[in-house]
Amino acid sequence: MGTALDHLLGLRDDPGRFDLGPADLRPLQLEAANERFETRIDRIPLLANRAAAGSVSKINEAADLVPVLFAHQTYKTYAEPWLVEGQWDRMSRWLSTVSTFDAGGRSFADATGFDDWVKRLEAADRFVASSSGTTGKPAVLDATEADLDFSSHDTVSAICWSAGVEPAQDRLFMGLGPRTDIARNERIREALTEAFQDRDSEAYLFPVPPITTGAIMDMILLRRRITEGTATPADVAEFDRLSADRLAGIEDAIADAVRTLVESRDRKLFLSGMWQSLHPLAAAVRDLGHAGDFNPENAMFTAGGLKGATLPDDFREVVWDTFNVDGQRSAQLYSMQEINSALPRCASGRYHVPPWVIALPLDPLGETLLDAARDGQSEIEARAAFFDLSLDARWGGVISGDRVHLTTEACACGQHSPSIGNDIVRYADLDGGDKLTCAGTIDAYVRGAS
Amino acid sequence: MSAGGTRAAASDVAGGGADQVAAHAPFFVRGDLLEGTDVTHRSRDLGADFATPALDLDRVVLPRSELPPMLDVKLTEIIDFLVATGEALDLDRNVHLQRCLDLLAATNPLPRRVVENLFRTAPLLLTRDSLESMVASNFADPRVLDGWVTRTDGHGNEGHVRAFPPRIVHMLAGNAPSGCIASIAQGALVKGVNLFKMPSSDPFTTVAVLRTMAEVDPDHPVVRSMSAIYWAGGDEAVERTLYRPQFFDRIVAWGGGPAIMNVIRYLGPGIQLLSFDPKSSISMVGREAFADDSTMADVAERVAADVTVFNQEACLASRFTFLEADHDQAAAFCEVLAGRLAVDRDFASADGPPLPGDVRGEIEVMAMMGELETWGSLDGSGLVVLSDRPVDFHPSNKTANVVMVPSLEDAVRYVDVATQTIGVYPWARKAELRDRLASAGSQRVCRVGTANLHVAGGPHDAMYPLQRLVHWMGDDDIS
Repeated sequence: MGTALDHLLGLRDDPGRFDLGPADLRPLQLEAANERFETRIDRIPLLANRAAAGSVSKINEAADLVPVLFAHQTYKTYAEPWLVEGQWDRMSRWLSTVSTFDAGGRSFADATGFDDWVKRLEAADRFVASSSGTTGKPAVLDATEADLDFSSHDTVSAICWSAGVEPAQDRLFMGLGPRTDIARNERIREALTEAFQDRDSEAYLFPVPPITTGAIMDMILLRRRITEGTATPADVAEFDRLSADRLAGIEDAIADAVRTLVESRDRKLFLSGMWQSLHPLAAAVRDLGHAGDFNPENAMFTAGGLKGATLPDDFREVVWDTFNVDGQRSAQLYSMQEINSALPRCASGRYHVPPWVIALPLDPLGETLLDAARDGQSEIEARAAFFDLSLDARWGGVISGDRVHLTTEACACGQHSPSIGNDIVRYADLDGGDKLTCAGTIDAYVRGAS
Repeated sequence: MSAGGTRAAASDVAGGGADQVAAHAPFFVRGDLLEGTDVTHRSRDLGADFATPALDLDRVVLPRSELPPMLDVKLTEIIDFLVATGEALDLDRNVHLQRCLDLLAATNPLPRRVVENLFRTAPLLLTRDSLESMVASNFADPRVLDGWVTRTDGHGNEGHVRAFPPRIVHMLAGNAPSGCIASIAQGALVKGVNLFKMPSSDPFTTVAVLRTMAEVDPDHPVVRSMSAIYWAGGDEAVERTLYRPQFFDRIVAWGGGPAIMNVIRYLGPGIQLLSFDPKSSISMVGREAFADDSTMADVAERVAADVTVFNQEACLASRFTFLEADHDQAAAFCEVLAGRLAVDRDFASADGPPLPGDVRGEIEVMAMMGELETWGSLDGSGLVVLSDRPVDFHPSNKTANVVMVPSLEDAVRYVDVATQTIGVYPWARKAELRDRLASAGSQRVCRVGTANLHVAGGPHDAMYPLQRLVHWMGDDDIS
């Protein structure tokens, strides 16, 4: 093992990684942060700009990271019309401003669309993911092979830790939600299958074709054209027809998944999906009279919040009880697309920060580092920011949109790593519906296409 | 309960510590002042606590079996009363408004000096000329407000029409503390039964104005037609109960987003929404501005005046300036404009809150890529962003995006149904542009620099609101 960075990243699958206290780790983390800083400052122009503006030349303490953190919206700072107009060289130039991507003289000007641009970047070993962008502008996130490798294996390790299961290749893996053909997501799915699927049978994948990033972009671009007033009624109708077709496909897939679940209820399952996919499946399985007669060793993994979906208050219990999943064997991770690593939830319901991630509790504006131990409080309310040392293509320092409660004291579960309570909310949601103002934009006038 | 919702609070008020005593925000219900600190709320913008009495919904709804109190009061008498109220709202003499100034410092982001100027100018809306202009422009025959007006059709049949007083919920906007005065005037001129839902950034001013009214004449039918209360916007328990056609004919609401989507759920036969939609405003400056340096300076000052209204919190505040200029001219204009954004004005302050972090990030990246140039500062004192297409973000906190265009006609494609006011220079070009601007969806052109001034009795958001508020009742005599 060489550097501090190598050492910390080498803890990825270490069973004791969440029992390391922050005080012991901090010197190593700062050393590793400097490694990242020194090797990234000349490769990420935005970082160089930040460092110059904040007079940061070395990371001596955690507070030195604050001026060089990127807001999570950094990955939305391109101009959306470039996507509409297919200005792929400009998009590439933007990508090389916010990440280590270097076009190296390549031209992307004749890319035929977003999918094609992504494909050409893959030929240059860069893997671009875009957020599904259910509302507004999608984030565009660059990754290298090292990022894909780390995040896929970290996801498996985090799930095993959170659910208390082994990657023993002794289950039927069931992916129970629509897929996207984004490289990062596919790599995570492959790693999960590799870890849990037994070798005598095939993993079950939700039988709908993966949604391409280009199709997601089409939706976003249509929304843009509706906003600009350039979409015709026929454009809108055609889009609605495609959406309806996709929904019809999903209904057939749900029926297929329900059938397979019922047939496989004696097998040891690993279920993976979002709550809003899993809940209707559980309801349908119950309607067939199969609640709780599944294998008692079943485990599952749900990613992401509800993303605006409304489910009954007891949606978790319904899913767990139906598929006979002990709540403890339901892995939950807290993360965000702008970082690489996951914070797995422990038996006490808190999300634990791995050793290669520095948790930076900030004031609500995201400008000042809060002292986790101030006033003798064991837990502080803060805007979450992280420095994820594992990130390769992008800068590891990111300010989230989330309000969290963080403690650096040992958790009730016995582990000593810093942890975050499960009452995570987005600041954007805290604004609520109480603000009325006459000022606003055309975005409030755009219906559908989301 | 919604975000920022209510909680039982007697203990908060009594034992919250010296710096945490919640301000009292009494209700006003049809002439009665209701005091109490049963419930503590938190203001959305600044997170300050305020305490209100418990909400008794039965008291704020007038059953349809009772005629509206103003029904038989002549319009001239109502106008007399509003004028007297306007005079009593003189800030130097009015203790209620003076107290509001202190209280608002905790809940409202506008600087005290700006609020003070608003309090000094808003009562001008309650002058006779202003009120009579509103009536005259809304109603071809204002006698419909006072009684049944008869007309005869081509067949000799007589129809009698009355603009019957409506029952209205006004969901007041939070961005300008004086906005309630316009809503009170509208509600009184149509003789409505009015319930004002106050915003969390100002749960004080409406009650202060109504108390002033009650001091002019506590038994006046106008006073008995007005209630002002607070609940957390979106609170289902309140809104699902109140927003019914059995109780109200109209909901008047400002803005968009979740606040309006909440209200829309309750609309149906018999209860209509009168929506003052969320708007943005722009400026259009022709190359004539570069005739000489003093002209350019004057136009830049006028644009700055329009950009900075309520520190750009208002719908009529300009956010994009489309400029016919080459790059050097545009750069010179931007430099002057940036200087003029950073000055104290009646309705703006030299300094303001800094730009949101995500916007700063976007400007930084775009500037690094050479996509835009900036003058001024990101610290809230005023920023000019020069680009050759409008920026993706919503300019706020005294930010002007100057967009170079070959001609103002080219800028029309950036105008849409959310565009409210368009300040134009030179004036003559308004007439060249206004039909195309109307077709694109906008609502008003004016001389640049006068966005915050209005010709009395003009339309608002492309409508005459009073004629949409009243309940048009017909009585047909077919012989």
